[in-house]
Amino acid sequence: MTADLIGYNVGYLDEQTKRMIRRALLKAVAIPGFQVPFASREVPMPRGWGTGGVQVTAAIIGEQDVLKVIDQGADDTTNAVSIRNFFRSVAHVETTTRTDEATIIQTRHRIPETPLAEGQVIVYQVPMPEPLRFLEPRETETRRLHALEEYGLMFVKLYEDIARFGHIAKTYDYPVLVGGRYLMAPSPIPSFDNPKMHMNPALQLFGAGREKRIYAVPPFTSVESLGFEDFPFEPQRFDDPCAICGATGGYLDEVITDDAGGSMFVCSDTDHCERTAAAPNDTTSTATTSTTTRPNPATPNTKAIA
Amino acid sequence: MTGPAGAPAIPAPGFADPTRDAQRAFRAVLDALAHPTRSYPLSGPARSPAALGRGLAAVALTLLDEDCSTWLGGSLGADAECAAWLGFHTGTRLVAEPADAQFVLADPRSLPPLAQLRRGTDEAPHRSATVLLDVRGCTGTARFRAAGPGIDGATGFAAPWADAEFLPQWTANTATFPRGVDLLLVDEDAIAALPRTTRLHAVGPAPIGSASAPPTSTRPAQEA
Amino acid sequence: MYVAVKGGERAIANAHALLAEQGRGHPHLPVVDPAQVEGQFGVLVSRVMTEGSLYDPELAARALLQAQGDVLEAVTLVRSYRTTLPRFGYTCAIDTSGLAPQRRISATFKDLPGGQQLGATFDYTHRLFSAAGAATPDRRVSDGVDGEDQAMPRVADLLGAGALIEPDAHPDQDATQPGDLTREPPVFPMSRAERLQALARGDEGFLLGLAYSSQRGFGNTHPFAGEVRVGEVEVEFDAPELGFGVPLGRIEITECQMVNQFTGSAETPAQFTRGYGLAFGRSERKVMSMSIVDRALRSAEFDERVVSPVQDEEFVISHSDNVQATGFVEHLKLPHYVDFQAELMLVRRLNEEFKESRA
Repeated sequence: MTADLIGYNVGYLDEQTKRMIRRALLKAVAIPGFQVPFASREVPMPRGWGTGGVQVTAAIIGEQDVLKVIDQGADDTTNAVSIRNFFRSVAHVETTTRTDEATIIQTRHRIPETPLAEGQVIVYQVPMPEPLRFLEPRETETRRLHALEEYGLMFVKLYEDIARFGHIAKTYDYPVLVGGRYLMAPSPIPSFDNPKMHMNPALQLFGAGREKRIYAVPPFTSVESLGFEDFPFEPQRFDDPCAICGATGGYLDEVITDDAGGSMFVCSDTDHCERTAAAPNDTTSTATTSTTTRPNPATPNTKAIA
Repeated sequence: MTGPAGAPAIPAPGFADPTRDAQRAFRAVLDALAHPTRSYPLSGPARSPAALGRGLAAVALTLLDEDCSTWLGGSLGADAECAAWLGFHTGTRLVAEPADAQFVLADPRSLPPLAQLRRGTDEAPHRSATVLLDVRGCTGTARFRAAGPGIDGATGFAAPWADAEFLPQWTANTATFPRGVDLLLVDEDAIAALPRTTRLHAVGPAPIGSASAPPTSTRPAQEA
Repeated sequence: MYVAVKGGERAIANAHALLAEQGRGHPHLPVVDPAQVEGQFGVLVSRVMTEGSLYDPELAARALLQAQGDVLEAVTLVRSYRTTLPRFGYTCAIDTSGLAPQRRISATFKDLPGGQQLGATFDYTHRLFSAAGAATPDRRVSDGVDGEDQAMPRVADLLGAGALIEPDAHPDQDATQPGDLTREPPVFPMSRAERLQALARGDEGFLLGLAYSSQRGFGNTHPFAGEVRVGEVEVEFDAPELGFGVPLGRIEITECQMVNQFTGSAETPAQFTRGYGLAFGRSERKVMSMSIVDRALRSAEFDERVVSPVQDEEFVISHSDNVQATGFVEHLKLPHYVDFQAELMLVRRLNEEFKESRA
């Protein structure tokens, strides 16, 4: 009997669930960087695969929206394709791969290279929303530390890196302080992307489905990556241009090209890469399509990190 | 909305298309809260109770349900049609004390002092009240300068609903951050918001950026 | 030149087609009907219903077929359907003392009012393969006892009458509405009601391991199976307008009351304490594990020192949900190029710095 009755609401989530998430979102925006607990629901993809982002997107999206979904910066990675198809089928929305055409961008692990604009919403998929979790496993304890604005643990951790390596050895999910008050996990974006969060004109929403937390950074809000006066935060940088489009200044993926240590660096942001490649000669003269081969794997040609 | 004598009135309809209408209204609320002081268009059900108005009806339908508690102030609380309509469409639990409510629906005159509302705790600042303030037909002259998250620099805005009591109350509200209440300013067809992060300063009634400096004597409110 | 991974759309479509093909099995064999699964895989169906938090044997059977027998996949399917269902109201608390058990055993008393009733159980079967195709069950021999007609008070209530066991609800416990884990975010520390909800949804294997650990010394429970009963119970819809419950139908459940010794404290004399387990369908292993873990997690109530994983509420509850656990473990299959790249650059740098320092 039940077999014939199965049907899903527009946008998948039922209206009551949407209201619950919407109420949580409003508090998240009102308290920038604070993790609002919410009664995370199951969604038709596994936990850890973007269920928080999917719930946030499902709670805000409407037919007037244009959705872009990226994973690792790319629109064509399988999970991005899967989530995009999900919303196309349950929310009947238009989708795009172009950052500037999207009204909502759901992302895993990257912020697009194309600067976000006012009115856009970026939804981050978050695996571990608690920046202090690996330093203090207990929720009851981390909750108290946030209440007391007691973030010494994190500074100690970063300082231990400096003592040991001479610099901070955190390369992604690099902790930030939001609005000068809350320590926040930016999700596992590379520290390269951290500066983009600061005073961004777009609304940034974060959904952690498994951990049942929603948080937000409103537009034009200060987002500082932690650092010390003598050891300030330094995002990773790439010196080489993308091997496909020639763009410089973007985040690159290293692609192994043979079994002799050969590799090349290409844009992680596929939309950015395609558009730079298509643009008539306005990129740098260093543009090249040849693969960069590392002569000796032990001496990489990346001069990453300042 | 009045039924035959003696029979209970049948509440007026809610959203024509509950899923899509609620989504649009929510985006207006979210945008408003993310861009404090800026006004966003809001469309509500055509035949909502007069005491509530279209805008407040839209926000209520979008945010309230049986999982939340609501306090109705002033004429809203006194209006049987309004309570029946909210009960029928949202199922929200009406509470007698504003301090017990997650949502406080009031007009400027019936708005309880902000300090009496739920402001959350340091560990759970999100467990705080959201005020849905009915600002229809307000004619005050208050103007503020606003700054904080969501505002690029600072901006001026007119607050015809604000009386002299408001600014000191609001200043106290922002001072307890992260605890505090959030304010949704709901007009018939538009919504603006003041989250607890928005800091306000009084300015004169003349529009910001106009050539004439605001005369200090007409300041509607002084900072606490 | 080298083209980086592209064509996610096509890859996904092909993967789905392949999966369907694999799940179909040999095309000459008939497709399994969900009703067959419901009837012949009853224990499996029970598990999917319990961990999926939805009593619907037919739907659970369908989920199992669609998931090609992957229990956690089936649970996910059921839960992500369940969560979209509108909630019309609440049922009255079920009365398990009123249930007519098809099986009821107590390990604490040789005989008790209502008697022991072995019922359908694997317990005393010899785990020898039976002849293939022997589909017709042996005829039952009447033992002259018709359990359904006898009153069977719960064992815990028998002890309770003599004040040798703690009352059903701890006096400190909030007697008002229990929270609802599926509707409100869990906040630690939890109420016992919320904990029991989490345990009921929790992974059978995980709870079994935890319960086992407490029996082996990583914990301090000394459990006796006070009672395990399986049977059907009436579910009633609580209609406040009517003032009485409206019967909705019957569901099969398994319940366990685990009795634990407690030596007493300054305020309380020595008595037995309880651990509780409840699950849909036939799930004895689950309810026994659950009741042991439930008792272990009540350390704070009895001023017991928390020394073992099974007593640690945050540890147990945060990791017992298999939908969450499997998702996060398996999400490591998703691309992590970006973070790996960042780490790769860091390791290269650290490596170079190490060499320089040695030079």
